[in-house]
Amino acid sequence: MNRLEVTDLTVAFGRRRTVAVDRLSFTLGQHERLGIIGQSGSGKSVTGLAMIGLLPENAHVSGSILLNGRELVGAPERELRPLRGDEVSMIFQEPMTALDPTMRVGRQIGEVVALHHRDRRGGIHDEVLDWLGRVGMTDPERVARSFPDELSGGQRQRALVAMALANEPGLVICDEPTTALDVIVQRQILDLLDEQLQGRASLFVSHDLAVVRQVCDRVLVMLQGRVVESGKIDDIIEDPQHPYTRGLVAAARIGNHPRGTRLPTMTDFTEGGRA
Amino acid sequence: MRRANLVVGGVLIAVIVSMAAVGLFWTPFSPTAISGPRLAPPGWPHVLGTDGQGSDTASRIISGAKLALLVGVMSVSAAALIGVPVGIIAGMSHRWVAAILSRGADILYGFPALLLAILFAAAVGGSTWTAVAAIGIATIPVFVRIARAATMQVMSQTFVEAARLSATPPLQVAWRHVLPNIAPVLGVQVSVSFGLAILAEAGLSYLGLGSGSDVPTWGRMLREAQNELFNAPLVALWPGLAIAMATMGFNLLGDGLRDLLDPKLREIA
Amino acid sequence: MTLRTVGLRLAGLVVSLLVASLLIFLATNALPGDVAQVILGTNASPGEVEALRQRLGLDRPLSVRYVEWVTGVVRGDFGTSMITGRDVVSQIAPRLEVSLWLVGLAMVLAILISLPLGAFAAVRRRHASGFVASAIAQIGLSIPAFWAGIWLVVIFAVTLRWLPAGNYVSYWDSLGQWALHLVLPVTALAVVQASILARYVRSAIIDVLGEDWFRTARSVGWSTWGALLRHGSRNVAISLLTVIGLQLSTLLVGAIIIEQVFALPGLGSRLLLAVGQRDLVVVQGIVLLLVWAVLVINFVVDVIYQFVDPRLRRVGTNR
Repeated sequence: MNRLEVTDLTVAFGRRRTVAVDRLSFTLGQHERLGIIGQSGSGKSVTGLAMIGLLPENAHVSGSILLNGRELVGAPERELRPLRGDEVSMIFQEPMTALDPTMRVGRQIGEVVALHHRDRRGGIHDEVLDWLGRVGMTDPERVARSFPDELSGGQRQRALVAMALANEPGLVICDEPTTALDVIVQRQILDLLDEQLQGRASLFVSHDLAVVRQVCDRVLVMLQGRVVESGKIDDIIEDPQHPYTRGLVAAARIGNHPRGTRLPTMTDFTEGGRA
Repeated sequence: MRRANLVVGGVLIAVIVSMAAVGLFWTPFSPTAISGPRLAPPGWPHVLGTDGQGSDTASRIISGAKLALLVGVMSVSAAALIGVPVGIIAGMSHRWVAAILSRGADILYGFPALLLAILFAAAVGGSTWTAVAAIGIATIPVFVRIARAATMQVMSQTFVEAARLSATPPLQVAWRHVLPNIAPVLGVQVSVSFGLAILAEAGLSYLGLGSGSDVPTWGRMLREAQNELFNAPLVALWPGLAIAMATMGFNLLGDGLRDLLDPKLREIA
Repeated sequence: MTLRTVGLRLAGLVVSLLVASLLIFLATNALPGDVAQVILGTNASPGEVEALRQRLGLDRPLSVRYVEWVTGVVRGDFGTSMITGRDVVSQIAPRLEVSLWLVGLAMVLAILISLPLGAFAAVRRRHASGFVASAIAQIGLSIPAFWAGIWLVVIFAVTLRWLPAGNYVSYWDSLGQWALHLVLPVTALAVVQASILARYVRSAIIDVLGEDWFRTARSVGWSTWGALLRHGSRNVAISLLTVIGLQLSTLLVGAIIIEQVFALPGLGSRLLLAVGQRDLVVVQGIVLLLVWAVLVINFVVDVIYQFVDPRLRRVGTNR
């Protein structure tokens, strides 16, 4: 059985039914990683949120999302809630603001466990410290006692990774998890994710081809709510088919561009300009 | 939903304003003279009935609209004329000047209109003018605070920085850059303060601290209606409805205007 | 927050209290109008008026009278009434109890109403039911508290005869009667206050609903209401605390009017009696008490605020 089977997923917003995701289909095996790449407004983040059932109230969703064989589209809140944080979890873009500023970090991680597993409540403190160690914190005791603003961006993202993984979910959605971080920290978090996502299925949403390439081997390229290209990431970089993908690849290779000439822009690719 | 605020608020205000405008020239009966039996129920010719004296309630309501708006206009415009410049100065000046001005506004915050009106009434006797002064002074700190916050917001923007770096005199910066940019926020506050002023005036005249007994006001009508509560509770309905309509009209207008504001300014208003 | 910052704020508070007392004194004493003349009536001879002025000490310079008054107040002596000749403290002390119960219970009731009403209006803001909740708050905001009081009397005292229409019974005499007599006035005062607070609660919760950490809480399995209670409440409490402090003066003023509606023998009715008699000493004493109460409570709220919000708390200790 596949971990995730998405068929003809369509998401539209508001009364005008502005389409954000248009008939998207893909499958994800038990231990597979899939990158979704696209620019802002391409529908990639909406796709991520749809997998966890957290789209805003004015979203209209149709099609099918099967998580471990269970239909999520149209499922009532009381069925979705036990899944979130337990079978599927999400790591967001903004580590600076994604933790409750008024609560100690250790408690925020611990309550994810307590929420889903009453039986494990006794050992939560040790579990939290264990997780903080596993996500690479050098001083788990201190971090657990800290408020979020006492930690750096990288430490906060590590804490959020620990929160997302605390119940060992089978599917993890990563929505631009490194975008807000500086390059060195980005690298460290990517290594951490690469290690921690072993043995799980994951969906990796990003605008950055290079980032996706480090963790995923398969990728979907989205443009205006549709998949324009999909396949093995190395093949796509080697031989991009769609003009938009060609643009992405060229942008990622800016270092090879001859000095003194005009840098290419996306319109050069999508509107048949000079490359 | 957003436009609904503006529309409903606008309609309510239009009703009150046209009542006041008509009241300047004409009322069905004299608002102060006895024109029928005491406590007549609503009917003809007394559309809303008569009060405990036998005066026509509708005429008194119309006449009261005049006074409510008059007190509102005078107190709010006085408060804005004093509070806004002080707020702009506080927002543009150095730390200690700003600190003194806002500390002053904070102290004034401790003096609601009613307490000021009580002080004035004790010292010189209550009148329309002490009511206007009390409500006006009590409203000043609101304008200081809002004008200051909005000014600081504008001053942090790049175009103002550019103007200051090119040595534009402060007065010119205030007039050309600050005032036009904070005007929308002030507009919202004027509307909200207007509603509060009408509410405060009603409270003052209910307590007999405002206009003299020869002037029919909504608050005074309620005070008198309370004596007849057991015989004719309806008499206590109309003035309250008028107050609620006027207050709600300005509140909704303020809310509607706030929704139209730039999000950055909306936090201040 | 260090002792130093507390000390600085405390100094600021003392300055505020002094300035407030000066403003009150000037408003009652420096405005044109001869109190002695008013008290005695227009028939009094100039000699009688002058004698009363001397007896009340009105012939001495303003500055001397102000200093005398303030130093007295600090020692707990608010002067003697111009009319009754008795000292002010003994006249207002028994009335404090009534006003404190009225204001305190109304504030508690207002918070109890506003939290669920505002939260509901925020969470359901895209639905008709949330719109209705907002509309209720808007209506409550627009009606004068005394009008609400009058209608409560019409309905529950005049028509249904369930509750008394006014007056006060001390709880020493009868706890049940005390409670019954307070139901209507407390409700009238709380309804308006609850509407004001509900609007703040609503916007505070809408802010919370849009926070990234709220989305995180939802993503690990909290329901909207669960996440609000667990993570939102502290954040909402912090903003509500400030508003309650600022709204306190509205509540005190509302209480003055409500005491009048229900004939409660509180501070407010004593104050209005003194205004009618032009008893300036009593008026300035009670007004000073109310204004100082507002300033002191806002100071306390400000200090508590520093301790409740962990971010502010540490900013304080680091410096």
